[in-house]
Amino acid sequence: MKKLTNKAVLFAILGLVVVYGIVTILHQNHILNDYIMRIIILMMINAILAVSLNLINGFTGLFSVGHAGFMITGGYVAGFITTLVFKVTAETPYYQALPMFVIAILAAGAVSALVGFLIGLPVLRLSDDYLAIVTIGFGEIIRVIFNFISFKVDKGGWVQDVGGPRGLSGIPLLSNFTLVMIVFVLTIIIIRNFIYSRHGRACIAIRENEVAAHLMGINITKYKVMAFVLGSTFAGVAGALLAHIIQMLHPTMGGFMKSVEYLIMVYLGGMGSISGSVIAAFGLTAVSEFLRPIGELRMVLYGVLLIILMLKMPAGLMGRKEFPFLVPLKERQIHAKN
Amino acid sequence: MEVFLSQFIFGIQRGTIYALIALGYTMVYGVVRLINFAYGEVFMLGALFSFFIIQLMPLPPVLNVIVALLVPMALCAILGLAMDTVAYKPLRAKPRLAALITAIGVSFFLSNLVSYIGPDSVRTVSVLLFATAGLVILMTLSQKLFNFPKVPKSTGINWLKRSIMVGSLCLLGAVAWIAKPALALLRWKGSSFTAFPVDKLFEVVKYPIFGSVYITNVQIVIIIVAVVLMVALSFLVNRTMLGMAMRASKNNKEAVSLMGINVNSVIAFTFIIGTALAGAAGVLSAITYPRITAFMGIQPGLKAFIAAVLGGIGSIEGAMVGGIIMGLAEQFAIGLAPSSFGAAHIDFTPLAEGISFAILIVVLLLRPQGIFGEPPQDKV
Repeated sequence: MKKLTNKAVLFAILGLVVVYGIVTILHQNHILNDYIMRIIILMMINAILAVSLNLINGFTGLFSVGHAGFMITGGYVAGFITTLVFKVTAETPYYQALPMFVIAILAAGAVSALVGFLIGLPVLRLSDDYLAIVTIGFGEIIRVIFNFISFKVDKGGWVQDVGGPRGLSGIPLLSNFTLVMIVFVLTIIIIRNFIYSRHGRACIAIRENEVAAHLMGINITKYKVMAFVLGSTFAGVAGALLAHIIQMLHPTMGGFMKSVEYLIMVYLGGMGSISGSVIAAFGLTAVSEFLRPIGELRMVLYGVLLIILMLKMPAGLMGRKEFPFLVPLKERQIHAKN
Repeated sequence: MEVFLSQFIFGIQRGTIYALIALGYTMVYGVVRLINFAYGEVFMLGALFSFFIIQLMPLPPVLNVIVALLVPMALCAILGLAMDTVAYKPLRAKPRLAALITAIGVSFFLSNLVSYIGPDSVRTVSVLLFATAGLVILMTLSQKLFNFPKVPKSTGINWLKRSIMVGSLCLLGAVAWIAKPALALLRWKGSSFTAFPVDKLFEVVKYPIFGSVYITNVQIVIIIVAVVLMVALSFLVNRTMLGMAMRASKNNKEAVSLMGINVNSVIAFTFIIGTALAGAAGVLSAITYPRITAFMGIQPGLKAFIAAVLGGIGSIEGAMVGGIIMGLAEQFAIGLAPSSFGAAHIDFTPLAEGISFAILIVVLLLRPQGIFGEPPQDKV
C-alpha cells in the first residue's frame, strides 16, 4: 500500500492562507464592503458555536438546548470587562485595546466553562431528556439574572447599566476578520484534536452505547462533563467575539429561539461531523442574510426545516463524514486499508 | 395571614393551569417516552382559538362559556392528532432524540407562525388550518415522490438525497431573492399581543371570604373546570378499556400489540387527550391573564414540564400534585419576594420567576424520579 502523506493538511493550510489573503486584499480595495465583512465574521462565529454544540450533541450524544445561554454568558463577561472594567471606547487605539480584549475573551471562556461545569455535574448523571429541559431552563435563568443585575457604572459623564432589561450597550467594535479567523481555526483544531484523542474516543463510545462504554471502564459522568464544559467554553468565547461585533447585548439573546438556530446548524450539517457543522453554519448564516427581507418568516421556515430534516434526512448533509484534512493521517490509513 | 391566604388562592389557580398542561406531558411521556415540547404552543393556540370563538359567535352567557371552552379543546385535539401523525409517528422506531428534536421544531414552527401572522387577525385561524393541511399534503406527497429505493451499502445518506437537499435550499434562497418585494409585502404584522375579552364571558364578581381576602367567580370557575377535567381524566384512565390500554402500553408496548391492541391509536388518543387538556389550560389562563401573545406558551410549557418532573414523570397523580405545588411555590415567591430591599432598593421580584428552575435542579439532585415516580430500571 502506498503510504498516504499528509498532503490534505498542507493544502488546507495553503487554502486558509490564500482565502485570508484574498479577503483582506479585497476588503482593503473596498470590493468587499463592511456589510459583507460583517457577514463573513458572523459566519465564522456561528461556525464556532455550531462546532462546539456538535461536540456536545453530535459526538457525545447529549442533548443541550441552551447553547445560546452559554454564548450570552461569555458575551456579558467579555463586554463587562472591556466596556466597564477597562473602559475601552471607540477612540482607544487598537494595539492598546487588543490585549484587554484577549483577556476578556479568555475570561469569557473561563466563566462559561465554570457555568457549564456547575450545570453539567448534577444533570449529566440523568438521561438526555432532563439535560434538554435543564439547558432550556438555564437559558431562562440567564435571562432572569441579566434582567435582575442592574448596577450602574459612571462612564465619562453618563451612567451605564450592566444588564437590566435594556441590555448592555456601547461595547467597542473589537472583533475583526483576522482575530475571528484565528479563533475560528484554533477552535476547529482544538475540537478536532479532542475528538481524535483518547477522551474524544471515550465520548464517541458513550454516544454509541452508554452501558457498553461503562462496562469498558469509561467514567461516563467524567467524559460527559468534559465534553459539555469544552463545548460551553467555546460557546463563551464565541459569545465574546459576537458581543464585540454586534456591539450590544440583550438578555433575551440567550433564550430558546437563538439556541434552536444553532441546533439547526448542527443537525443540518450532520451530527458528528465538524465539516458539516462548518458548512451548515456558513450556509445558514448567508441564507438567513438573503432571507432578511421576509423577516420572521425565516423562523417559521427554520421550524419546518428542523422537522423535515429529522423526518427525511436524519444524517444531515455530511452524515459523519469529514473533510480529509480534519482526519488524522493514521485514521485515514486505517480507512484506506479497509 | 391575609396575604398568605390570598396568595394561596392565586397559587391554586395558577397551579391548576400548570397541572392541566403537565397531564399532557406526563401521559405522552409515560407511553412513548417523548417530551412533546409543543404543549406550550398548544396552550397558546387554545387561548387564541377561544378568542376567535368569542369574537365570532354572540351567544348567551352560560352557553358562551361552555362553547369557548369546548371548541378550542376540540380544535387543539385535532392539532394534537395532526402533530402526532405528521411529526412523531414516522419516528417511533428511530432513536428518542430524533423525536425530541422534531418536537422542538414543531414548537418553534407554531409559535413563530403565529408571531409572524400576528395573533389578533382572523386570518390566523385560516392560515394555521391551511398550513396544517399543507404540511400533511406535503408529507404524504414527499413520502410518495421521494421514496427512492435504498442503495444497500449507504447507511441512510447518499448523494442524491444530499444534492436534492442542497438544491432545494439553493432554490429557496433564489426564490426568496427574486421575490423579495413580494415577500416584503407578505410581511404583515398586527400588534404583538391581543387582549382576551373576559367581559364577554363573565362579569367579574368578588366574594369576600376573610378580611380583605376575596375570591372571584373567575377563580371559582377555573378551579371547578380543572377539577372536573381531572376527574374525567382519571375516570377515563382507570375505568375504561382505553385507559386500560394506555396503562398497559406504558408497561410494555410489544405485549400490548400482541394482545391485538393498536398501540399507534392508543398513542394517538394520548396525544388527543393531552392536547385537549393543554388547550383547556390555555383558555383558563387567558381568562385570568387576558393577554395573548405568540410566545406566551413557552414559559407555562416549561414550568408544566417541571411540574411533571416534580410529581414523577409518567404518573398522572404526580402531574396534578406537581402542578399545584409549582403554582403555589411560584405564587408565594412572586408575592412574598421583597420589591425593595436595602438602601439601593433592589427589586427581587424578577428573580422569583427563576424559582421553578431552582425547584427542578433540587428535584433532579435529590429525587430524580419525582414524588410519585418509580426509580428507573436500566435494561441491557
